[in-house]
Amino acid sequence: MDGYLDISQTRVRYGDAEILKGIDLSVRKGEFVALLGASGCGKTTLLRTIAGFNTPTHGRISIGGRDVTRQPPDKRGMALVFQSYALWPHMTVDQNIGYGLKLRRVDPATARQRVDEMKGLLGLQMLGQRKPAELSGGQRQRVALGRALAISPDILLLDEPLSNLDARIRLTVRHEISALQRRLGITAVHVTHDREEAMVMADRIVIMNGGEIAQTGTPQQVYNQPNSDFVAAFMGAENVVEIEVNAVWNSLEIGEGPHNRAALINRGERPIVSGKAIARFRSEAVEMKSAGEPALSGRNALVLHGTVVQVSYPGGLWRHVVHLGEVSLIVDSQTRFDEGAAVEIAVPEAALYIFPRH
Amino acid sequence: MNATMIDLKWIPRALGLGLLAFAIFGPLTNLVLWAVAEKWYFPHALPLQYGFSYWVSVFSPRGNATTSLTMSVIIACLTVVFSIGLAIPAGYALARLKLPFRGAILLVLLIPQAFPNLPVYVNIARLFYQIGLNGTVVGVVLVHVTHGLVYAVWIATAAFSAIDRELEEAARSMGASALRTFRDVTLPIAAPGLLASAVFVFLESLDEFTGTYFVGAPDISTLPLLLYTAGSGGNYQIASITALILLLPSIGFMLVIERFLRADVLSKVGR
Repeated sequence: MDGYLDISQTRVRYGDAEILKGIDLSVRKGEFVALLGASGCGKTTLLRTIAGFNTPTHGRISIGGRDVTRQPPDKRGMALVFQSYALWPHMTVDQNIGYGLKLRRVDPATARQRVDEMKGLLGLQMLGQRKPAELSGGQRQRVALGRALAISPDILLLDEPLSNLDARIRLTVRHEISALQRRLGITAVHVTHDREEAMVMADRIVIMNGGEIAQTGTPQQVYNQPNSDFVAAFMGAENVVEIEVNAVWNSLEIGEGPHNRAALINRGERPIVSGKAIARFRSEAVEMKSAGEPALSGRNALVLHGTVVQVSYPGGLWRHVVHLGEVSLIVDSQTRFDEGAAVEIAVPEAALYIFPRH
Repeated sequence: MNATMIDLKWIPRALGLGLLAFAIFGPLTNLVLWAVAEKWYFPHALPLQYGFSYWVSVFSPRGNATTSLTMSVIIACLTVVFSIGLAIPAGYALARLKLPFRGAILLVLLIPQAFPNLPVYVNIARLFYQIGLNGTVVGVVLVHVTHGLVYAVWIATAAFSAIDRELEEAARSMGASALRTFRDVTLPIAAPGLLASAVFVFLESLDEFTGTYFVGAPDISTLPLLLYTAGSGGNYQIASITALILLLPSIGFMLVIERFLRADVLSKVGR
C-alpha cells in the first residue's frame, strides 16, 4: 500500500455486535475521502477508530508507516471535528482555537498570531472574546474547524460537521471546507450520510453498508458504475424493475416481460448475469412518450410500458408516478403527461444498472 | 357590580396566603423577637423591654458562642474538604466508567441515612471511644463526612454525567492527556455543580446535632450543641441568637445554590 493513512483488516466490536467487519482502506496524503452510508452502517465508528476512541479487536491502523493501532487519541496527531462541534463552553473562541497550541507549548505570541490567522481564514475576527453559547450554528461550526486546523493536524477528521446547519448555509460551507482543505493540502476523512455532500466535497467516496465497504471510487465512478444493487440504490437509482436476462457474448438479451419489451443491449462493464435479474435506473435518466406515438426502439434501451397515476412539479422537470402493474416508478420528464395516460419509458443502456436477483 | 364580585373571590385565597405566610414567618418573627428581648414573660404578647445585652454576652470573650462558631466553621470546612476530595474521583468514576453495581454503590452511600440516627451514632461513638477518636475534631468530621458524602457523591456524579463526553474527547483529540483533559475541561465545567454540593455539605455539617453530640460532646462544642444547651436551660435569648447565626449562612448559600445548580445537573441526580 502506498497510502498515508492505512487501515487494514480492521474489526471493531461493541459488546456482542461487530460494527466493523474487516475494513481495508488507504488514504493518500492530501486526499479528501468521504465515508458515505446510512445511519448505523459503521461510518462514524470507523472515523472514531481512526481517531483512537475505539480500539479495534483485529487489524492495524498506521499513519505514514507508523503503527498507531494501540495509541491513545492524543498521540495520533489528528484533529476530529465533532457533529456537535464539542466547543468548550467555559472558554472563549480564542481560547477554544488556541487550546491545542497551548498544549503544544507554543509561545503565547506565536499562538496568538496563529489564532488570529485561523480567525481570519474563517471570518471570525470580531468574535474572539465570545463564548460558544453566544454564537450562531454556522459560527460554532467554523470555530470547531478553526480549533482543529490551528494545530496543523496530519489528518483532519470530520464527523458530519454540516448536518446541524441550515440547508442554505450548508451549501456554502461545503465549498468553503473543501477549498480550505485543498489550499492547506490537508489529508481529510469526512463522514456523511448526504450523498450530494460527499459527491461535491470528496476526491474519493467510500460507500459503507453493514460494517463493510460496499464500493470505493471517485464520485463519477460510484455514481455511474455502481458495483452492487445497494450502491446503485444508495446513489439514487431508486426505480426497480424485475427482468429476465441472458448474457450472449458482449450483449445482454432482455426477455419480454409483462411490462417490458424484449431488448438487446451492450454488456459493457456489467458483470455477466443470466436468469432472473433486477434493473435499476434514475428517475431523470429516461425518455417517456405516449403509448400511441411511434414505438420507441428496443435497441440499446429497455422499454417499459405503464400508466401515469400522479403528476407533480417539483421544479425543472415534471415528476410522474407511473404504475407497471404492482410496480411503482418515479419518472421525470420535460413534458407533462396526464394522469391515466398510457406511456412508454425508454431507459438507455448507459443509465441501466442490472444485478442478479436472488 | 361585576367588579365587586370578582374582588370577593379573592378573599379565601388571600386568607389562605395569609395563613401560609403566618405559618412560615410566625416562628421566624418569634425568633427575632426573642433575640432582641431583654424581658418577656407571660401573659405579655410582646417583649417588655428590648436590647442587645444578650448579644453582647454571647459574643463576649467569656461567652461560648464565638468558640462554638469557630469550631462549627472549622468542622464544616474540614468536612467539605474531605467530602469533596472523595466525591470528585468517586463521582467521576460513577459517572464515566462502566462500573459494575453502579446503582448499588450509590445506594450504599444512603445507608447511614436509611437507619435511625441514634443507634448508628451510639455505635460510632462506642467504636470511636475505643480508638480514641471520641471528643476530637477528626472524630466529629468523620461523622459529618459519612453524612455529607451522600450529597457530595450524588451531586458530583450528576454534575459529571451532565458533561457531554464529546467535550472531553475533543480535548483528547487536540492532544491533551487524560489528566490534562480532566483539569482543563471536565473540572471547570463541573465546577458549579461541585460548588453546590460543597455548599450542601457545609450546611449539613453546620446543622448536624446528633452525631456531634454523641461523638464530640463535651469536648467539642458546635453551634447546634450550644443552641441545645441554651434551649434546654430555658435561655431563649441565647438560643434564638444562636439560631439566627445558624440561619444566616443557610439563606446565603441557598441563593448560591439556586444560581449554580442548573436544571440539567439536577435532572441527573441519582441516575
